[in-house]
Amino acid sequence: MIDDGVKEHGRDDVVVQDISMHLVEAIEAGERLRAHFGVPPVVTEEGAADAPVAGQ
Amino acid sequence: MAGPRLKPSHMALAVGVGFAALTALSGTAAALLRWDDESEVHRPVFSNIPGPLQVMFYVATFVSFVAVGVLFAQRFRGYERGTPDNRRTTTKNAKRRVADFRAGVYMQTVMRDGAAGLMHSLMYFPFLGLFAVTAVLEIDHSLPERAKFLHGGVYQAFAAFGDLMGVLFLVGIVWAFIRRYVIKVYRVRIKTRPEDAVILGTLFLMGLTGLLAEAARIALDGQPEAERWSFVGYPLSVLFRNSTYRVNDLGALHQGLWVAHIVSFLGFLLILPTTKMRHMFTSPMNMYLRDRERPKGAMKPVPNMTETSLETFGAGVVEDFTWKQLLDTDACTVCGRCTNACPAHATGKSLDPREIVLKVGEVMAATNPGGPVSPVVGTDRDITISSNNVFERITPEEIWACTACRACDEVCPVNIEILDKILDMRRYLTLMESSFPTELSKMFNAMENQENPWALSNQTRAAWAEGLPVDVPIVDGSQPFGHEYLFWVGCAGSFDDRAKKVTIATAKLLQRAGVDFAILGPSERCTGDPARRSGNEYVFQMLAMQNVETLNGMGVTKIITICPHCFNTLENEYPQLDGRYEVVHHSQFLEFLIASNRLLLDEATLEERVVYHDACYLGRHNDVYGAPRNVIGSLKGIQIVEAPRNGTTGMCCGAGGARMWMEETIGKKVNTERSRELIATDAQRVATACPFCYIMIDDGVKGSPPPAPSATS
Repeated sequence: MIDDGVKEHGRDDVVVQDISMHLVEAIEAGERLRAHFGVPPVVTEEGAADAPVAGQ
Repeated sequence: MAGPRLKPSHMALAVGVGFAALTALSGTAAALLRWDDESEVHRPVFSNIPGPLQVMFYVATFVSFVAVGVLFAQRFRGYERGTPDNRRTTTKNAKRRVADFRAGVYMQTVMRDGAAGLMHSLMYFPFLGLFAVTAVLEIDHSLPERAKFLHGGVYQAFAAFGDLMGVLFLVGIVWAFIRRYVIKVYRVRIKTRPEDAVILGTLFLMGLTGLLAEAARIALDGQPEAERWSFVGYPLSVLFRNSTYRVNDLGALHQGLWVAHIVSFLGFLLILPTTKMRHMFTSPMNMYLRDRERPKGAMKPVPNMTETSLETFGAGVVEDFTWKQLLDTDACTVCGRCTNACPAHATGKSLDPREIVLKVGEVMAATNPGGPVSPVVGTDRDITISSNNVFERITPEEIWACTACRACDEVCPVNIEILDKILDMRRYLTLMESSFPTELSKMFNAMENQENPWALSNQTRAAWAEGLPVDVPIVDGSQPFGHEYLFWVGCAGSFDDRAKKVTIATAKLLQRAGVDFAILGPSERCTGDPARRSGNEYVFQMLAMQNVETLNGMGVTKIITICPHCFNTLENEYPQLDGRYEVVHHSQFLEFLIASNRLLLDEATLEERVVYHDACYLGRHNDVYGAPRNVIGSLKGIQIVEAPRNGTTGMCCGAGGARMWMEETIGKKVNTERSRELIATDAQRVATACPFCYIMIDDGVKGSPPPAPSATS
């Protein structure tokens, strides 16, 4: 679909995002909350499992 | 010198003649040897049927079987017009082929639609049961007395089984009548033809006269006690013999019903090859021959466009299709599941996937070598076909309305490859006729000149990475790739402002999880997917070959991508050009990072209702359904809901098959329709896993009317 500009009177009460964007939004909101309460950050762990391969 | 090659049409003829010969042999042996069963309780064969009628039965059956063989052979000659297609059974694929065949004969795929599946099963399984009953009776009839087995308790169980099958068969037929002519289910109604009444009428007559002839025989024999096991025939015999409806000449009644049963059976034999009833054979065969070498998401390979001596590309005439694509048309049961599933059809476009199959079949049938054969289903008399060109019946509008979402292929209970045909016809229109929507010429030019369909400078491909809190390494295509993963961004993620947010979010998550990755920046080009799906194999190959050369030269082995179209092309189509990589979609990779605790979501909470929209090129083309749901479901507090159409039946956003770059002027907009479904779930958030879906659904949701104010507000 070529962009026809029909967006002006939309529903902005429904948020459309990619899964990665939802994830980042939730993570960053959590971090802001933690910072607000002064809790130390969580350390990222290196996983031991092998990376996934398409089709598996 | 090699002798004449045995063709499928020869084999079809041989099967018909073989059945005829068996019938003749069985009849002759029984007539000459007269091996009668002297047991007290047994099934008399041809009792009350005069000798001349018996002879006529065997002669008519012999002739009908030969006719069935000849008529099927004529149809097979139509499939033989097609180009080669390797569907061989190998030790590697034999098990899966048998499983596909079994799914067909066990009605597994038909049963996916509960009511229709049950109805069809009620006709199909009892029909097989009744066929077995007839075959067992004829075998017993032909055996010497010592070897006969159909007597005593065995006969009584046989009789009860036969009656049960007969009743169930009639229930199935009546149900089919009701669905077609009373309920008038949309997909059935729009393709109902007079022959449907003939088919159902013949089957009904065959079942009914079988039970009535049995009842008349029992009445004529004086209702022996042992026949009580015929729990339908026996009570009916009471009606004939003892009730106010009693028949005085039971002998004539029995003969009349027997003749009616035989005539309906012979009629059935003749509608078998000449109507869609042929699907009894062609559908399981078609399922067995499913493509087991090519991934679902890959289009058929085309030789190198700059080197090949081929003079024609794609499919424009019957002979351009493969033999399997032509067999497909005769395997169609005209059920219309594909019609129901098609997003273009649902939004008022001229495309109906079933019509594509039927129209190719029509042209094939009308131009069959040795004279026309009946079309797949009856057509209007006004329609004439003068050549083997399928565009006599199919319009370019139909072909270009397709979103290549694969919903039709996925839902087809007999594995007809509809999308392949549409894409082959697009190849023909684009490469041979230069006939395509004008908007596409801009896209083709952009892909040729700027190496992306957005027509933006490829040098700005990595502009999204500027200003990020952490640097994203960019590796030049001429350098060895020294990172574990290549993050293949794709054109949407590089150039579209909204899709760039997906790219940035994914990069942040990869960095957060400590993944060693880099991007190619200006060395990345469009994978060529939109060009290939709009028939321009030339542009596809130009871009794909350069990409493969770059990736192979750099030594890239592992690729992460946010775009299901890139994912599909890199994973399933680049091997056709010697590009073999381990490709994962970002949903799969994020799922892995979360599961392996590399991406911690301990503090991530989203207390909202979320609906996930399935991307066609992730789901139906690559069977990835769980990963995106698992990723979004990892967030605390989240409530996931499903749209009515989800998973394998998910509705397309409308952007696939290069529709992203075409105007949508007919009917309703696909993305708006899909967005309405998603909004109707009352979800506060919609999650996508494809940049194109993101753009389309975001537009669709924003373009939808705002909720009506509540009475209290």
